[in-house]
Amino acid sequence: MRALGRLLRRAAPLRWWLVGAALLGSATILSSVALMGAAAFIVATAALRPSIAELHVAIAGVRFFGLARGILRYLERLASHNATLRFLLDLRLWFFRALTRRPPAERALRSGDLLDRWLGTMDALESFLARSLHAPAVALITAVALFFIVAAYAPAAAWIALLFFALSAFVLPLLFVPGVARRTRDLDAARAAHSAAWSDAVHGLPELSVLALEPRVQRDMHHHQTVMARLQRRFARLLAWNLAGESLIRDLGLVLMLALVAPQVGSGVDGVDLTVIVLVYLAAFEAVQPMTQVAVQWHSHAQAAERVLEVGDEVPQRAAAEVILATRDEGMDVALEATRFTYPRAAAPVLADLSLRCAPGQWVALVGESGTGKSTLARLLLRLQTPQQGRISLDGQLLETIQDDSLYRQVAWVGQDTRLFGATVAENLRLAAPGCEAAQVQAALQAFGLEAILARFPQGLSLPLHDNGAPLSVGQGQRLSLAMAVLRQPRLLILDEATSALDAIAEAEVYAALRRCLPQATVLCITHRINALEHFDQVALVAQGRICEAGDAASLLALPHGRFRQAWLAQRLWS
Amino acid sequence: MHLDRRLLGLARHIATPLAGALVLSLLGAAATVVMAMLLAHLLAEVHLLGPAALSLTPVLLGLTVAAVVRAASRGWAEKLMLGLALPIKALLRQRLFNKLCQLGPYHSASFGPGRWLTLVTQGIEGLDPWFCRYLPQWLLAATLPLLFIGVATAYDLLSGVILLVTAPLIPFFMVLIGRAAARASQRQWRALGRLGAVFHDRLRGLESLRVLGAVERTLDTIATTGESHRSRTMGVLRIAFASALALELLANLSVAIVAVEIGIRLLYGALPFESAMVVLLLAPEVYAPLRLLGTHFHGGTAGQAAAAEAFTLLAATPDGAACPEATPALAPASPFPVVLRQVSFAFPAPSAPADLGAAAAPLVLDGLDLEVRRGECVVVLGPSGAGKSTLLALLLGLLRPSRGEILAGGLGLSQWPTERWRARVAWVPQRPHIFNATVAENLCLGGAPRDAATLEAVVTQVGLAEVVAALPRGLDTPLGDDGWRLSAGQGQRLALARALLRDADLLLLDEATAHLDAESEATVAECIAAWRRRGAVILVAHRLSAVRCADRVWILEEGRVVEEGSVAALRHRGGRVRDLWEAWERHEAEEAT
Repeated sequence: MRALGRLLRRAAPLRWWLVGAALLGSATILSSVALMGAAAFIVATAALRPSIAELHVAIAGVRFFGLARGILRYLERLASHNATLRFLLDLRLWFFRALTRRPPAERALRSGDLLDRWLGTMDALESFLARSLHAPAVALITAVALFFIVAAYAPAAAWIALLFFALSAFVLPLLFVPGVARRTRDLDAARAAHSAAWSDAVHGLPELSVLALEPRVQRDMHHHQTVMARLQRRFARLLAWNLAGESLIRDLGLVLMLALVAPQVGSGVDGVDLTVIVLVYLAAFEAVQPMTQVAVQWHSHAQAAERVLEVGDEVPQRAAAEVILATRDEGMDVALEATRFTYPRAAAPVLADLSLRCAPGQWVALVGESGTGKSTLARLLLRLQTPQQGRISLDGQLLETIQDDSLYRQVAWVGQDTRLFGATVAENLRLAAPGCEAAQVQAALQAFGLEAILARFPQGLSLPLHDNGAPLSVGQGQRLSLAMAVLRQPRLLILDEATSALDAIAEAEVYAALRRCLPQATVLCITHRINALEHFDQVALVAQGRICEAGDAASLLALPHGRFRQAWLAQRLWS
Repeated sequence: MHLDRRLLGLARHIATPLAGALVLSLLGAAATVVMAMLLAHLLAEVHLLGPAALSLTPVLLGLTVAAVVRAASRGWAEKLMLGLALPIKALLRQRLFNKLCQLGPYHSASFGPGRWLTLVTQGIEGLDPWFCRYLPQWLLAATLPLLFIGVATAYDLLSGVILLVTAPLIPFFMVLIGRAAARASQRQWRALGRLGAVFHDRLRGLESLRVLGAVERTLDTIATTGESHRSRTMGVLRIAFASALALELLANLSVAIVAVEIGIRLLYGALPFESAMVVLLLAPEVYAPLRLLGTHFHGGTAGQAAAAEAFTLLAATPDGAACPEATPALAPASPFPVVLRQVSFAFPAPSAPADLGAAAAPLVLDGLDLEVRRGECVVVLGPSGAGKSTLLALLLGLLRPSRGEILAGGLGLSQWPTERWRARVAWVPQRPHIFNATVAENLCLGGAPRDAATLEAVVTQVGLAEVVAALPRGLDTPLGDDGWRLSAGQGQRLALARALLRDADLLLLDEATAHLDAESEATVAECIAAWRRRGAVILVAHRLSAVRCADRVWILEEGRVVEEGSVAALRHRGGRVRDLWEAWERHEAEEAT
C-alpha cells in the first residue's frame, strides 16, 4: 500500500495528464449517459404527441453526444497512453540509476533469470496508471455527476442511485481485495514451484533420461499443474461472484428507484422524468465495469511496486571514497593480501587467504581449473564484489577509498562477464572511449586485425551488432573488446579468457599488439592456455582459493611436485 | 478477426464448458430481454396512464426475479469461461514435456533451455485471454446480437432492420481499419520493443558499463531514445485508435439513429410507446458484445503468438540420433563384456527447419573397436572435444551409432529394454545438474529413498562429509537455484555419490576429477577401485593422473583410437604415453626423495 503511494509520487510530474485523462474518461461515460437520457427524453416526450419543435434540442443532443462520445474516448485513450509511456520511461531510468548505486554483490546482476523477473515486474506496472488509478477516478466523477443529473429530475431517487452505484463500484470490489491478495500469493507460490520443476527438467534433461526419472518428474509437474488449476478456479469463483454482485446491485437499485418514484408520477415527477432517470442510471454503470480488474490487480501492483522500489532503498553509505589515483606513465601496482570471499549462500568460500602482488608494468598470468575463483579475483579488483576479509591496494591506496571515476578511468576489463552492446560498432567504441579521435580508433582497429574484418561488411563501422555480438564471431567480438579496452589507455588491464576463441597464433599477435599499444600497463591475464606463457613475467596458479604457486613460468615448471607442471604436461599431451 | 484453426482444434477439449458458458450467457440475455419488456411495460403504463393504472408489486417482483436470474447466469457463465483455458494449458504442457523427453538432451539443446522455459511458464499462460475471453466473446458476438435484434424486430420491424444492418458494420470496419492500423502499429510496437530490448541489453551489461565509466552517458542515451520513441509511438497510436474510434461512432450513432427514428414515429402515432421503449432499452445491448470483442482482440493475438511457438516445438521431430524405442528382448544377466564393433557416429544434418537438430558435423567417432570386461577400469584420454563425451552418450543409450553396433552381454544395445540397460549403468556427467531439492533427495535420485546412515556413509566415502556438516540443515538443506550452491568440485562429488548409491554394474565417469585437488582425487580413486569389484569403470579424462587407476587406456584423438592397451604395454610401446609416463615417473621419484 505504501509502495503504491511512493509510486504515485513518482508519477507526480504527470498529474495534469492524469487529471486530463480522468476528466476525458468521465466525459466519455457521461456522453453515453447524456445520449441515453436524451433518447429517453425524445421517446417519452414523443409519446405525448407534442409538436416536433419540442424534440429538436433533444434530437440534436442525441447526435451530438453520439459523436462526442467517440471523440472523447479517443482523446482519453491518447492521454492515458501518453501518461503511461512517460511514466514507464521515467521509471526505467530511475530503476537503472538506482541499480547502479546498489552494492555490487546483487545476485540479480549476474543472473539473467532474475533480471528478467525484475523487468517483468516493471512491465506489470504498465496498467497501474491506465487502469488502477484512472478507473476509480472516472467512477468517482461519474458517481457525482449521476447524483446531480438524477437529482435534477427526481431528488429522492438520486440518493438511491448514488448509493447503489457506490456499492457496486467501490464497496463490492473492496470486499474482494483481501481474498484476491491471498489467492494471488498462493498462486505465485504454486507458479514458482512449477517453474522450478520445469527448470530442473530442462536443465537436468540428461540425468532425467539416464536415471529414468521421467515418470516421477511428470507426476510432480502434474501435481503442480493441478494445484495451480485449483487455485485459478478459486480465483475464477471470486471473480464470478463479483460480476454477479455487480449485476444484481445495479438491477436492485433500479427496482428500488422504480418502487420509490413510480407512485409519485403525476405529482412532482412526470413520466418523462422517470424514463430519463431509468436510462441515465443504467447507462452510468458502464463506469463500474473496470473496477473488478482494479481490485484484482491492486495486490499485484502493490507487490510489483514494492519490488521495484526496494532497489532505491537506502543503501548503506560506503566510507568516503575520496582518493583520486594519480595518472602516471607507468602501470598500476596491484596488491592483494589475505583476501577471503564467499558468494552469498555458497557452501564454501571461493577465495580463502589469497595474496598476490603485481609490480607496475608486469604481465601476470592467472591460471587454474575453472571454478577456482580467478574471475572472482578480477571482480574483486574491479570493485564489483567486496571481499569479506583482506586488503586490496592499487598504487598503495586501499581499493575501498578510491573514487569510482578515477578508478575506472585507469582500469580496463575484457572478459567473460563483459559484453558488446546491441548497437553499432562505432557506438560500442564510443561507449568505451568517448573522446577518441578517428585516427586513434583506426590504429586500434588495425592493431587487432579488425580493419580487414570490418571491411568485409558494407556498413563498416556502422555495422549493427546484436546483443550476443552477431554478426561478428566470438573471436572477432573478442578482438573488438580488446580494441575498445586499448583505446582507454588504461594503466591496469584485466583480461579474463579474453582470447579463448582465438587460436594460438592469433593469440600471440594479440599479445604483441597489446605490448605495442600499452607498453607501460600492468596486465593481469586469466587464461587456461598455459602453453603460451612466455609472454608473461609472472605466473600464479590458483587452487583451493589461494595462490599455491607463483613465479615465472620456467621456475614453476622446475618445481618437483608442482601442480602447474602436471597441468602443463597434460596440456602438452594434446598439443 | 479470425479464429486460429489449431487453437480451435484444441478447443475441442473444452467443448462442454464452453457450450455451458454460451447457454448461460444466452439465459442471461433472455433475462435481460424479460427485464426490458417488464420495464417498458411499467414505464408505458405509468407514463401514459398514471401510477394507479397497474399494480407495481408484481412487475417489480418480476424485475427482481429476472435480475437474480440474470446475475446468477452471468456469474456462472463467467466462472465457466475463466476456467476454459485450464485443461488446454495442462494438455499442452503435458505434450511439451513428452516432446522434451522424446527429443532427448542432444536435440533439445539446440532449442535452448531459455526458450523452453519461457514458453512453458509464461508463454502458455498467455493462452488465457484467447480461451477465456476472445473465443467465448467471439461466439457470443455472433449470437447475442441476433437474439436482441430478433426481439426488437418482433416489437418494431424498422428498428430491427436498422439494428440488423448496422451491427455487422462494426466488425467490418474494425477489421478494415484495424488491419491498416495493425501494420503500422506493429512496426512501432516492434520499435518500442526495441527500446525495451535496448534497456534490457544495457541493464545486463551494467557491470561492463560501470567499469567503462559509461553509466551516466548510457542513461542520457536511453532518455533521449526513449523520448523520441514515445513521441513516435503516440503518432502510431493515433492511427491505431482510429479503428476504436470508428467502432464507437458507429455504435453510438446507430443508437442515436434508432432513438430519433422511433421518436419521430411515436410522434405520428406509428408506434406504441411500449415497443419503442423495448427497442431503446435493447439497442445498446446489441452493440455491447461487439464492443467487448474489440476489447479482447489484443489479448487474443498475443495468445495466438504463444500458441504458434508451442506448435513449432511440438512439431519438432527427433533427428534420428536418439535411440528409438527398443524392441523388447530378454535382457542377459550380465551386461559384460561391453563391446564396440566398428562404431562410428556423426550428428545428423538438420532435417526440416533450420533451427532443429545440430549442424552437420564430420564424424565425431570413427570406427571404434573396443571391449570392456568385468572388473576392469578403462580410462579414455583425449583432448577436450566431443568425442569422449559422445562415446559415453552412446554407451548410455542416449545416442545411436551411425554405423556399427554396441553389444552388452552379447545382446545389441538397441535390443536391450531401455530402462533395464539404464538401470545397469551409473553415470557421473561432466556438469552434473543439482536439482531443486534437498541434499538427500539429490543423492537418492532415481532410486528408493535411503536412510540417513546409508547417505552419511556414501557422503563420507566421496569426501563430502565436512561440507554437508557445514550446511544449515545437513542432509535436509535445500540445494538448487533458490537453495545453497555447491562449487563445481562439490557438485562432481555429489554426482559420484549418486552413482555409488545406485545398484549398477557399469560406472561411467566424465571428467570426474576436473575440479578436485589431489586429496579429493585420491578419494575418488578409492571409490573407483572399490567399484571394480562390482563391475567395470570407464573414466573419461584429460589429466594424466587419472591413468593411475587404469587397467587399460584408450587414447582417442579426432574420433579414432590411436593407442590402446594396458598401461604397462603402452609404456613399452613407445609414443606419447611413454614420454609422458617417463616424465611422470621422474617426478614421482623426485617426490619420493
